[in-house]
Amino acid sequence: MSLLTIEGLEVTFENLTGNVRAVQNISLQIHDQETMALIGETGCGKSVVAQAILQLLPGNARLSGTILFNNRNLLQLNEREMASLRGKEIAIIFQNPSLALNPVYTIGWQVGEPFRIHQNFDRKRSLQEARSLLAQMKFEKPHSAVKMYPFEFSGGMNQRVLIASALALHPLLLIADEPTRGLDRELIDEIIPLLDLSRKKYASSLFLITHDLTVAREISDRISVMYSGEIIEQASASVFFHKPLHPYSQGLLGSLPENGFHPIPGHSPSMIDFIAGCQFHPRCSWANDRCRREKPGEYLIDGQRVRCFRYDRG
Amino acid sequence: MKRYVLNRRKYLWWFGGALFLFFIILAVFSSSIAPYHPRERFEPFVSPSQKHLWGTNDIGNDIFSEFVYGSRVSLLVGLFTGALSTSLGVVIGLIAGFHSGFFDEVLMGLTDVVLMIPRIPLIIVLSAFLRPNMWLLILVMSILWWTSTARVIRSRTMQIRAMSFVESARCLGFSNRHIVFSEVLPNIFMVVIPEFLLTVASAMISETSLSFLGLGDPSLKSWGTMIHFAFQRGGFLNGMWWWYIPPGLGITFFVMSIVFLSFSFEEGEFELKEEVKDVSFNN
Amino acid sequence: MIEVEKITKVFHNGWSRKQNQLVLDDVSFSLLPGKTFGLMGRSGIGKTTLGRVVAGLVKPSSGEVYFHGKNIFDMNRQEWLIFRRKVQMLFQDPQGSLNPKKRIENSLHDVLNLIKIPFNRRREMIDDVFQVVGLSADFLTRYPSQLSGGQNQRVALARILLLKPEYIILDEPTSALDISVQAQILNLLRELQQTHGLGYLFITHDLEVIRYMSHTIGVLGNGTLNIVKEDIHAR
Repeated sequence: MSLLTIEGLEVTFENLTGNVRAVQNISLQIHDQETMALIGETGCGKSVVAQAILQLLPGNARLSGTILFNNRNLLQLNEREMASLRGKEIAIIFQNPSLALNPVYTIGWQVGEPFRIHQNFDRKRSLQEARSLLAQMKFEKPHSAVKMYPFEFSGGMNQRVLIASALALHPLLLIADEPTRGLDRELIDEIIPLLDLSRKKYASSLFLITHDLTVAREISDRISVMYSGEIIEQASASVFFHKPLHPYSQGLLGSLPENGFHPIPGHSPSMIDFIAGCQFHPRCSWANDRCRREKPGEYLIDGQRVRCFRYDRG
Repeated sequence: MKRYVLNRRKYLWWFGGALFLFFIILAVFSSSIAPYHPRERFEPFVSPSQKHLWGTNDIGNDIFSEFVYGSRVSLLVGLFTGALSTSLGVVIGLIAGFHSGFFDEVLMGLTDVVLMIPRIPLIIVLSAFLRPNMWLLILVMSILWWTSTARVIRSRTMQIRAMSFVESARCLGFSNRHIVFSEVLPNIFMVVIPEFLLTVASAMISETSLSFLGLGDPSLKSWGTMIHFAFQRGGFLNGMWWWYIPPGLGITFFVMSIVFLSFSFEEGEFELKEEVKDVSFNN
Repeated sequence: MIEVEKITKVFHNGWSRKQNQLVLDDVSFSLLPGKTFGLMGRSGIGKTTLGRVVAGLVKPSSGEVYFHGKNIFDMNRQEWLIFRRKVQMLFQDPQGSLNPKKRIENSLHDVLNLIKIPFNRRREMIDDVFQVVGLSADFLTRYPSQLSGGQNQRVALARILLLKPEYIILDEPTSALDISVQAQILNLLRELQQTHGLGYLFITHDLEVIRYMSHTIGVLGNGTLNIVKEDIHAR
């Protein structure tokens, strides 16, 4: 059962210097009870996809396509309808946990916020719920934790607070936008399993957006790889990490520490660079004339989707 | 949300800018715009008529001409005070923010002391002992008005100093002098401009108020002086609104235009960043 | 050679003794030309502070750092200027190493001004150093905010290389970068070490990275440094 279906999503930013295409023709599905990882480098547009789902993009963004969630096209909802959705049916956690929390309110107040807004709980009850949530996030002393302020907690603790707050109302979909950026390996090893467990217990599906393949590998069911605004490969996690098809995916796996830190030559195009044909061809060892001229379509190989001419059997 | 901010900034800039430009033209081209010399005497207490757009005052000067020439005084006092006190504030703020510790403590202590001095009363007291004079006023105001600028600049300097590129510069071997002028200063520039504009506005209002109290330079006819004489010589009592309303509105709108400009600059800080990079790389 | 001897650093967080923090306690090690000393430890443990002491940016509470036999905190102006040029530091935050209000070329020209390179040689030097770090010349007219993290790190490296340093202290240079870009930068650093004979103090919390880059590894914990592996050849 598909929980979220993105079809033909395009996002363009209108600037003084011209239009910038951040996301080009993205289609993907997130099913019930699964974790889908969207892997890509900084600047490929993956955060834009997350923000598009929740309509959090700045005023100069132009969107087209459909995003179906529970049979409703999210792109057609107005702000009030979206606001009632956010935090309740779809929740999101951002990159920098310390910045996402308001420094002048206590942790208890902020974790209890979804209850007060969506379920009209009073202060006392929302505080109670906050305490139990924090306990489940493996905080040792939830009673004192709720009275503390964000600056008294470390980055890792704040991230756990945010996860707690996001899962408070048991959303159907949890979006995590680079939740482990800037954290030590140790902390990542603490938070990721927690995220996984929590999602299984409280939410239905997790949309994990990250550049870190090891994190994706640990908890995802399916993988989508994004490059320069396009999705270039989609597969189940086990298949992907065993046999990635797209040259870029192969390059990514090659640059992992365990595979010897082999870099992909060249650099990722920024959104303002224009590249004809296949976006990856300047860095691809396999590229031929066709790749330089034409844009590859999506090819289906044994349940894996690849956007690469190499797999054109036609 | 961003759309709204973008538009508001534009409105502030255009409206404030246009109004400001209007007054600048008034001040610079006074001799061409004013029909008569402000000290030329005609029949006193004339109501607005064809010959005298806004009538004449108690000694027969054409009020419209007085108004036009009065803009010069406000502008001069404002600009000079703004320039001097902002310079002083920037220097003090930079030194305090850049060299924390001893210098910071001393300079901030000095700032606190100056802040405690009641500004207008001090000027009033000084006027009692010295002949009121525009340059004296500018000097005294410059010595008192720099404190808010110093604090803001100090804050910003401390922020910048903590950034990696300043440490990088130190590591590469640049002298402190280079770092302050070449690395720090360009990053505080956008903060200096609103401070300057607000100081100008504040100085203009102060000058007008002091002139209204009769402590202004008697040889110059500022708007405040006009209102002062309107008050003293029966303009209020006789309902001669064309005498005191124009200068009152004049100072109000002149100051308002400056404040709007300074607001548009504060919002403009974000705008400039958008133009410099085509799109945020971390999207 | 850089010899770090018995560095102790105490941070005074207030007036009373109780608030003092002993961040570094009697730390000693050496940096050799062409070799990497990997400094490991959890975030916030004092690795950056140690790096800054070795770079001469922070004075230790006690201890010395010897550069070519001379204590850097006891040098005259001449010796200090040489040290300042020969020992450089690369910071973690790629967006922060460059002045956001300056174009890349201006940031580079500043350095060339500092070392008094005549105008006719500048273009050549910039081209050379950009080629070494793998950047194309059209980045010169851009602002740091228009470059990615990896590209900014390369520019920062290029700037450092203009001074022809002997040692670079690298403070978590790839921690803020994507995994794929990290591979590129790490390989670039290794190449540079080979071709230029640079000595590195590589500070990181990442075990895999430190294994890949270092000849000797030291772990910093509770202020003390434990040298765990010396002269690793197998990489």
